[in-house]
Amino acid sequence: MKIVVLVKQVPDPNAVRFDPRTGDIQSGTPQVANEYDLHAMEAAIQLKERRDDVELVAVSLGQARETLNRCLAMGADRAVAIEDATLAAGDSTVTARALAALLRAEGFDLLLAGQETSDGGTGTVGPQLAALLDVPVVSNVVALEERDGVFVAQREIEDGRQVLEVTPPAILCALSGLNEPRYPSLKGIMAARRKPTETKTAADLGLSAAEAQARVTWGPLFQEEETAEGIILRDVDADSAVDQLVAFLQERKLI
Amino acid sequence: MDFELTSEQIQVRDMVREFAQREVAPYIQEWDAKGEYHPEVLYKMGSLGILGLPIPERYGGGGFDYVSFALACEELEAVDTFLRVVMSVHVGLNSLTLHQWATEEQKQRWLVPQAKGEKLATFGLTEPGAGSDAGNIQTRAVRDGDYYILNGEKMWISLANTADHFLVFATLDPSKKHHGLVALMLERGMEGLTTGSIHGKLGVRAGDTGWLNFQNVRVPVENRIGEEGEGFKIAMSAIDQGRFTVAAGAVGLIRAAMEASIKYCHEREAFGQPIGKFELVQQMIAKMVAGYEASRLLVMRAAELKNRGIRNTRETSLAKWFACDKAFEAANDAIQIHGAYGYSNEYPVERYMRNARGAVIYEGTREIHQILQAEYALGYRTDRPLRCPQPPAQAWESEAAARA
Repeated sequence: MKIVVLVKQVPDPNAVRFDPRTGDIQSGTPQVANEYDLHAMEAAIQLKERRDDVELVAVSLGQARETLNRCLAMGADRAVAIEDATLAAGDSTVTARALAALLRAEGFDLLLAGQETSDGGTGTVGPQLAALLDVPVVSNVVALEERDGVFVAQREIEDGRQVLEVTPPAILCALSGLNEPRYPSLKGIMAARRKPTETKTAADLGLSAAEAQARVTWGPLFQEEETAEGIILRDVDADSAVDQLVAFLQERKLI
Repeated sequence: MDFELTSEQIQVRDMVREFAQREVAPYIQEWDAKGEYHPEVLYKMGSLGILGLPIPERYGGGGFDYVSFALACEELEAVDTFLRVVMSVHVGLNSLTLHQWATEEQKQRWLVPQAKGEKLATFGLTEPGAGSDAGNIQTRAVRDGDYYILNGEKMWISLANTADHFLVFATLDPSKKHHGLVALMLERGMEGLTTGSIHGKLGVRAGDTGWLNFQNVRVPVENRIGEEGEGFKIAMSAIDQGRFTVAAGAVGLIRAAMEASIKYCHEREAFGQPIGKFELVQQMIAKMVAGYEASRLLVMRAAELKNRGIRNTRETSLAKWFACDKAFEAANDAIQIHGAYGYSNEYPVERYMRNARGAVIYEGTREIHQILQAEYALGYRTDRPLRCPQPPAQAWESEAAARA
């Protein structure tokens, strides 16, 4: 069985700062693995640990060497890095087309990805891949097990969970509730030295210029001005102040 | 000379950082305040391979170099000193000493499970009446056929109550001073070996510090590391490794004090501006930056020598003395920058200061290191070759063999 996990390297959400002059993310922002992708990776490793015939491949698009190294250290067998400036500037459709081209050649039984990335945050790459590759997709996965070659996934929906069964090939998009990603152990880091990482460009994937053309462009990023103001009750007696405060909190369903 | 870290060194650093930040940082203030010791953290370090980091793969370790080892110590102590102390005693003082001095059979018996994190290990040299004056220890070993009968007491022993293995030093003949010492490996459960805790410490309150007591402990001769009379040399080469971890950890403590101070400088305003704008505050920040960078370079210099298996007693001692002094200075200034808040445990800097103070005493007091450095400079001290030289890091083994 072949499991492919899609991973992306993103600016650290805890450290990201915008440059107000350029509207871009400040250079030097630390890059980390997209959090949901690590949950997808962990799920894949857990499936691999339960059987002995799994090949686990980590795939990224854009600069993600550190994240791929981390995946190899966690337990992936090999990695594929799609590195191409044209594609890196693309929108989510370009990303999906490039990944679909690779996945057609690569083949897979199960494709795991994070539900969305913390930078672009469109959450559409998984579903777009499902359309392009004509395979089923289960989004918002918070539990997963394999029963006789069928994957039983629990999907988070409003006020509950939905249980879905899919037969491979299929795409699953992970949420953080799925598992607790492991740390790459030192043994894993050492073993990763001997694991291969292959690099691909748009040309290697046979992507035409038209296919690599983004139709969505990004405007500048900015931080919203903080406009919320506190409410100060003046010249009211304590009882009335308490009543007003309780009413205010109840209105907003805070109590 | 290359100041860049390799991708592998970065991965080790990041993994240890993530572990310490996620598993310990959120709780350490409470653990320290209550004096709570959480050994489960050590077992997790073991399962991740951190407790065997620089030990060659053939002995169950990670086979990483001393730069990676230093980075791990730095990351651990940036969160709390008790984490780095584990590296000092388990890896530095015990496991690396076995790697240097033990027979192959002894390595298989003790080093392998230690490197895999299956067994925890510590080191017992210091006694109630002998610290710097290690040649004067009173713990007595008397040969009785195939055994040594051990009697005495060890004090200020990290992991005293947690360790499975103990590398302890005793005298066979007090009149021979340094030349009369022997190194013995003890295992928990040996009859007559008891351990206990020491309370009331200024710092490292989340750590396990205690005493060992030996009442007629029968230690088989095959548990002796090295030869009779070689104990002092073994202890001193162990300390070359222990000091390295303390120096590397101190770099992490300086960083933690500096980062906390910088953050506070931006947050706190006085006289209408952030306190970072005041030059006397800036002076303290500048000293922290200089202390951090210089200490780190000294540690990396020692790491480089260790990687290649070159004697580094002088360089390691210098790194340890300098980094620990700078760590205490940085933590003390961090309290000053935080003002009255720094004096309370609402902020971590008072804990840094209490933790940093101990390292100016253990693993060679500040004074011992000053004497060493002066004696090297004056030509009063030279290092003689050891029967078992310090082994290089795994990746340098063939290069070192070719040189030999």
